[in-house]
Amino acid sequence: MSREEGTKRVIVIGIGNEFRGDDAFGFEVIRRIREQIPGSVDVLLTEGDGTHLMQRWAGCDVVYIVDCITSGAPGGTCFRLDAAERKMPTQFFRSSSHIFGVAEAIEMSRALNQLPSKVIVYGAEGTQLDLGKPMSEPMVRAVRIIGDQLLQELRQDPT
Amino acid sequence: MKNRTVKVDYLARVEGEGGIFVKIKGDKIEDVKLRIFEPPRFFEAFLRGRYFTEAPDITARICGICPIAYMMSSIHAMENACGVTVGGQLRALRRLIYCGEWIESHVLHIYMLHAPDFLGYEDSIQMAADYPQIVTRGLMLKKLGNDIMTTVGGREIHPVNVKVGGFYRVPTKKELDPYRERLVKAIEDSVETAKWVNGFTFPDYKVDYEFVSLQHAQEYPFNEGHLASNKGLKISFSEYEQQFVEEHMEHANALHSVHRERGNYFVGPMARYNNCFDKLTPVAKQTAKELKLEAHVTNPFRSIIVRAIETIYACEEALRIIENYNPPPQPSVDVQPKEGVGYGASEAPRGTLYHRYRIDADGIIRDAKIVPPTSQNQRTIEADLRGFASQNLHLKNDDLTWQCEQLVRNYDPCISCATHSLNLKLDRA
Repeated sequence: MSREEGTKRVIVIGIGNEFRGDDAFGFEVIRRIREQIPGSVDVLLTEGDGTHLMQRWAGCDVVYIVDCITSGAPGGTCFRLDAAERKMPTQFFRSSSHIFGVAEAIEMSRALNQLPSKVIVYGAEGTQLDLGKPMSEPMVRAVRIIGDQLLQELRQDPT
Repeated sequence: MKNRTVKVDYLARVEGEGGIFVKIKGDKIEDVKLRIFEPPRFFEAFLRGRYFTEAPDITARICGICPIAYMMSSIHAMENACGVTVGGQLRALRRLIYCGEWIESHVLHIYMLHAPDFLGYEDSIQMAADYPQIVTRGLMLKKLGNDIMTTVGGREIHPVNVKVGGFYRVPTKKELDPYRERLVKAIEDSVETAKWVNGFTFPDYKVDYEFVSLQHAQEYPFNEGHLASNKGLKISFSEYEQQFVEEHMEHANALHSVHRERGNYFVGPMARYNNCFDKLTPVAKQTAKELKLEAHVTNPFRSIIVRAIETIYACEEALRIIENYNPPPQPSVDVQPKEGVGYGASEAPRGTLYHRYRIDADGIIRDAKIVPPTSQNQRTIEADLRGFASQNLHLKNDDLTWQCEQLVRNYDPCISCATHSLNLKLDRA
């Protein structure tokens, strides 16, 4: 679908590693709602290399990121972090072994004045991150909760 | 007697998880450990029983930063076992995708991970606020490397288009031609990168290392040639295990690879540069001379300049390949399994990566051995920490800790690959 002039460019990015239990969260949320995401919205599933993320959201107005978070909260705890309101806590994204990850990409974009006007990170607390493990029950529930919330916000965001 | 510990529990800006512990008693270093607590991943074990053509895609998963190195070393080992040599434009495309990996990995390390050490920033984000144009240049260069990986390899992380015998699909001339203009600009940008890092202040520390790298008669090495060192080593890949052995240390989940007689050694950009300087491309060589970078670099902190020189090289080599590119008639050559042992080694951005496989007549992998660059550098990193810390005991703990972390990052260690590590603990107990 071609984007009409003056409309917002929106991208939804699911981040994760589908072989590491709860770290597949970002992928699973996007897969669950993909059919319902408006056609004008770009969708990306990625392992979360920060510089790649910066390239992909360059020129976008609105960015939604879905990722597994490790903050010490109970498993499955859901988060909505607004980059406009706060600095991204790098320690939340330790579940990714990438050196330059989500938080770094957001903060680097901010430092370079290249941060899209709206960047929202949806996350849930992962506790089962071993290779080959299935997703934990609290995270399976969080997939539904965050998926529904993201869809609702997408529908409210005119594109 | 005054004792102290310098400790960094979790060393940032390296790939993977580990730490460093340095215990200082009075004016002596009592203990140094590069602790690697990234869990082992048993790749060598689960390669057993898989078909020989699966090795590149499985081993690519060892690392998100240098998957091409893993693919190439395994592919060459399999082709070696099966008695196949791939030449011509397919060989050139293998070099091209390796150029992409070197560019993206070197630029990431120079700009995002190592430069902040020299300029006194906690991370590249703080640095970006003061150097926005420079950091933007780095991001553009890295993007170029990633894009080359995508065009040739199908995608930039864990490429899917590389196989034993060649590629699943080869790019058209039209797909590669747009890179010519970008690479001309990238050569200029990487020269500027080299000039920028050459202006940093480098701690005074030199070591008479044994530098081990691939060497090739005609070209700066990526994936063919023999293994050589500045201490007289000159062997084929099949002789690697006669010369080098892996040792398990209690404090590390990564094996330490050492030379059987001479102990620790050094792989990576400095080794390649020192062993193969005459094979660099004209602009890379000229820039090194203009910057008065010695032809034999022995200060590991100056490795950041060498990485920049290698980035110039990779851009020049990529341009040469693209200018001479004609798509081969077939994307790959047929490789039939043959019972035997195959050896492969290639130059990952952070150093030599050795693979050895034994396959049976049906092409099933019966045994595998993988020695990543960081495993080979671990013992030298520990030796450097001991040597550097003992020369700099006058420094306050914070400064000594900072410089020890910086020293480890000289090696651009990939702990995930080696575990196979980083946090730093200086113990002046």
